[in-house]
Amino acid sequence: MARPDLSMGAPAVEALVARCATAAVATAGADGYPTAALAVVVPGDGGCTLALPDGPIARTVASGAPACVVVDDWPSYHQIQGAILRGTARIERGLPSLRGATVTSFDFAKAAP
Amino acid sequence: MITQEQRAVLESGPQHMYLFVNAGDAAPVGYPMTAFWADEAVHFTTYRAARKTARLLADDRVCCLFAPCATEPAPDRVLLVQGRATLADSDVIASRAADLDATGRPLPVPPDVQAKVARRLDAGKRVVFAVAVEDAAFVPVPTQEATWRVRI
Repeated sequence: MARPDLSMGAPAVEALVARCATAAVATAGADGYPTAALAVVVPGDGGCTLALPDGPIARTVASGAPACVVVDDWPSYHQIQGAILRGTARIERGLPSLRGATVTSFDFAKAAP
Repeated sequence: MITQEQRAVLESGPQHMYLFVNAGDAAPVGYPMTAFWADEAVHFTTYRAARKTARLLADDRVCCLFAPCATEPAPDRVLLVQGRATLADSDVIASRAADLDATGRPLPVPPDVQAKVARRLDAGKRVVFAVAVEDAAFVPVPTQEATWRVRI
């Protein structure tokens, strides 16, 4: 039996990001291990930005190195949603932007019996 | 390696975490997971056929960010653990399943889902990974006024 497609469309992913308070951000560390931090989602008229803690992850993302951002919502098991953004930041209106990143998403409601 | 304060977080029951694994193309890949602490390691289960499993078997270096799910309020700090992931005994998950019911954390898992996970562990369709901790640190969470920004 084919597995159901759990992916969400862009509007649903944008809605998920908009109701998030935080996002997990990761980059490759210098020692070969992934490293991560929790960013705070800042809503704005032109979309959301992430406020990152000062440190190597913020500098790595700003330098244009590859990064991964994960957001999720777990209101109940069958309503879990998540989105994983992977890409490299490019400067957009003076700020690094991951808006061209590849997005993988899932919505468990699409698998509910 | 792990302070008492860090250990208290890990031992506080099943938890929501973000697992990040290397993917061979420079950017890590992240997954929201339920984590269990047992036998001095972070445990989680996934499908044997999952891409995540293939990535872990290809490169065992991971980091685990213990944080609430993204729609919950931001904490002041989160625990970051780095370590190596290896396949582990699936009995660990069975022994911790009661903790899910007892704590309701990180969220209640319906009995039919728990039963399905148990069947698939028994059948070998699901596997358990254990992350041996090599480094751990509390990482501060910024405020909305933080200087470093990225658009998403």
